[in-house]
Amino acid sequence: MSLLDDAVSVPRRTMTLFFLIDTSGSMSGNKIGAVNDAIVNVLPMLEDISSSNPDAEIKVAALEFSNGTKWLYNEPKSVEDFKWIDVQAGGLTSLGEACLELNSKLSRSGYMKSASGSYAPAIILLSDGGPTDNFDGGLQTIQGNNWFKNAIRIAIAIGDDADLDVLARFTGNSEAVIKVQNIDALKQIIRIVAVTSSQIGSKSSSAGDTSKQDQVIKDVNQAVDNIDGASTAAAPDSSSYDDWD
Amino acid sequence: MKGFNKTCQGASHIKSNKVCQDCSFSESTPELSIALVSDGHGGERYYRSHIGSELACEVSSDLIRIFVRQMPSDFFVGAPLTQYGINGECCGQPSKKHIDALRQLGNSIIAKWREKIEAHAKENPISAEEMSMVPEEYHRDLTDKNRLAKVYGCTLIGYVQTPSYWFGFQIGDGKCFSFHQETGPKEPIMWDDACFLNKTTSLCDSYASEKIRYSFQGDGDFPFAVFLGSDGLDDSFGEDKNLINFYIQVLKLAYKSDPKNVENVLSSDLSILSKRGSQDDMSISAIYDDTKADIAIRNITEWQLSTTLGELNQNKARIHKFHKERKSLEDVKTTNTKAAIDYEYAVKEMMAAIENRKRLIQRYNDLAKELDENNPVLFNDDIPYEKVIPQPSVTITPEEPATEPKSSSEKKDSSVISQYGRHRRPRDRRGNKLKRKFFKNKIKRKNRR
Repeated sequence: MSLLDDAVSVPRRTMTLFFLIDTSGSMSGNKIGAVNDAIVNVLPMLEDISSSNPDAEIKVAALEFSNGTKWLYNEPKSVEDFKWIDVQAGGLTSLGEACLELNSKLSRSGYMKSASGSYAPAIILLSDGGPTDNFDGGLQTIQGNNWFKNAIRIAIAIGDDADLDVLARFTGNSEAVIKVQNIDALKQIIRIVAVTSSQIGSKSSSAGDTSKQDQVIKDVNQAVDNIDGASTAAAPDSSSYDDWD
Repeated sequence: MKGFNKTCQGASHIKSNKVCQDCSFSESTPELSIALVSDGHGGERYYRSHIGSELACEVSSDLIRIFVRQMPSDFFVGAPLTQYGINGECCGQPSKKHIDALRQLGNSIIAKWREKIEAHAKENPISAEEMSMVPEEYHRDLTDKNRLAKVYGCTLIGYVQTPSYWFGFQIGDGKCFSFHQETGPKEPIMWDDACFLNKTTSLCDSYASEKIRYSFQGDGDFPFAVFLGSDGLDDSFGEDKNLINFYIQVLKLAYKSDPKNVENVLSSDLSILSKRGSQDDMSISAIYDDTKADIAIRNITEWQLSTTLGELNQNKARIHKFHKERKSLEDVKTTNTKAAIDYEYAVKEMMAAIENRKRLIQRYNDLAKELDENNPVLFNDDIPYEKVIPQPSVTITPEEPATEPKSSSEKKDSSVISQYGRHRRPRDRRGNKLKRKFFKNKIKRKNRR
C-alpha cells in the first residue's frame, strides 16, 4: 500500500496577483479606458503562464480605490475563470484606505492560504495622482505585514501628476516605479509588468537567490528602455510628453 | 521506543543534477531516543550545504548523547511543558536552570559545527567543478572566515526523549509535530516568524545561537510519537492538517509493520511526493512509543474523524453561502453583467464544494469503519441537494398561448426552478413580447377602423 493513497492530494501552490487601481476622477477618459483594455488583453497571457506551470496556479484579485475601496470579487479567482468588468473613474484617491484593505486580505483569514501552500503575491499599483487620505497611516500598517514585505511590488505612475515619492514608498524601491506618458505606453507596461511578475512570482526560488522583486525590476526596466513614453522613476527626468487623447 | 528516518533527493534536484542537501537521523534505545532533520540551503552561495547538513546531524547526535549522559536523570523532572522562542519569548513556566542548560547544548552544537566546517574547508579547497558551478563572487568564501559558514548553511530540528523527560530545539524552517493522547497533534516547538516563504534562519547566521527555539517537559506527559520534517514536505501539503494526515498514515504503517518497512515505503513514496509537490529534497525523522499501538491508532483515527467532521461543517457553510448568493442573484442576472458573472461563480463554487463534500463523506465513513468495523456510525448528510443544485429546465407546455416552438436549448434557458423546491412559473419573454405586439396591433387595427 502506498502512503499517498489516503493522503489529501498535493495542491499546486498559489500565487495571487493583485491589481490596485486608482479610479479617482482624474483617471476618467482614455486613462481608465486603457487600463480596462490592457487588463482584459493580458488575462489570456496570464492564463497561459498558469496552465503551463505544474507547480503554481495564478489567481487574480482587483481592488479599485477612489472615495473608498471596492474589490472586484469577494475572493481571488483562478486566472482561467477571472472575468474582467470595466472599472469607472470618479472621486478622490483613497490610497491609504486601499493599503488598509489590502492588509486585511493579506492574511490567512483573508485571501492567503498558509505560507507553505503559497508563493509571495505580486502587487501592481496603478495611479495618476497623489493620495487624498491618510496614506502614511495605511502604509505603516501594511509595512508590518509579512506577505506585503515579501511581495513583488511594482507601481505604474500614469502621467506627470502621479506622486512618484508615494509610489516609491509603496514599492520600497524607486526603480520599481514605472512612469508612463501616453496610452500606448500604459497598455504595454501593464502587460509587461503583469506577465513578468506572474512568470517570476510563480517560480520556485532558493534562500539566498536575488529577490523576486529585484528580478522583476531588472526585467521590466530592460523592457521599459524600448518603449516610447515609458521610463523608471529612478531614471533622470527626461523631456516627456503627456499624450492622453 | 522505536525510530525511523528517510531522506530523498528532490525532483528538481534530480532534474538539475544537484545533490540532495537534506540529512536526517534517528536512534532509539530504552535510555535515549533522538530524531534530527537538517536541510541544506539551495541557493548558489550555499554550494556545500549538503555537507553542512550532514555535519549538523553528526555533531548534534554526538553532543546530545554527552548532554544526556552528563545531566542528572532527574534534571528536568517536574518541569511542565515550556517553550522558548527567540527574543526571550516564553510560553509555560520560565526556568532559568533548564533553559541555560539547553542553550549551552545549542551553543556547543553551533561551535562544534563551525569547527567541523572550517576543518572541512581547510582540507577541501574549492574544486574546479565547484568553481564552474558557482558565481565568481562566492569563490573566495571558503578562505574567508566571516563568510565560510554560508557555504555550508543549513537548518536544524532536533527531538530528544529519555524515560524521565523530553526536549526539542530548532533553528530555521521545517516542522515538528508531536502526537498526544489527550490533545491530539501539536507543534511542540514555537514557530519563528522570520521563517516565511523561502526565507529561513540558519546555523550559518551571525548570532545563530540566539535564533534557536527550545522546548522541554519533565512532568511525565510524553507524546506517543514525534515527527520532524524538512520544508520540502510541508510545502508539498500546503496546510498543516494535510501534513499531519500524512504523518498519521506513516505512523499507522509503523504500528502495523516495523521501522525498516516504513523506511522502504518512504524511500519510494517521498520521491513521488516530491515530484507531485514541492520538487524539493525531503526528510522525515520520527520516534514513537511502540508499546501503545492500539491506543495510539484509535486516538489518531478519532482525531482524523473529528477533523473531517470539522471540514464537513465548513464545507456545508460554503455550500450554503454560495447557494444564498446564487439565489439572491437569480432575478438580476439577466439585466446586470456583474450579477451574471457573480451568479456563474456562485454556481461553480457551489458545485465544486458539493464535489468535495462527496470525497469528505467517503473519507468520514472509511474512518468510522476503521474505528468500528462491525457497527460504524456513518455520516448522515442533511443537505437537500434537490433544492440546492440548479435543476434542469421545465418543458413549456404546448398550450402556452402565443408562444412559438423553441429549440431544446432555448427551452432550457428560458425556464427556472427556484431553490428549496418552490417552482416558479417559467417566464417566456418572447411569448410576452409577442402577446404585447398582438394586442398593440389589435388596438391599432381597431383605431384604424
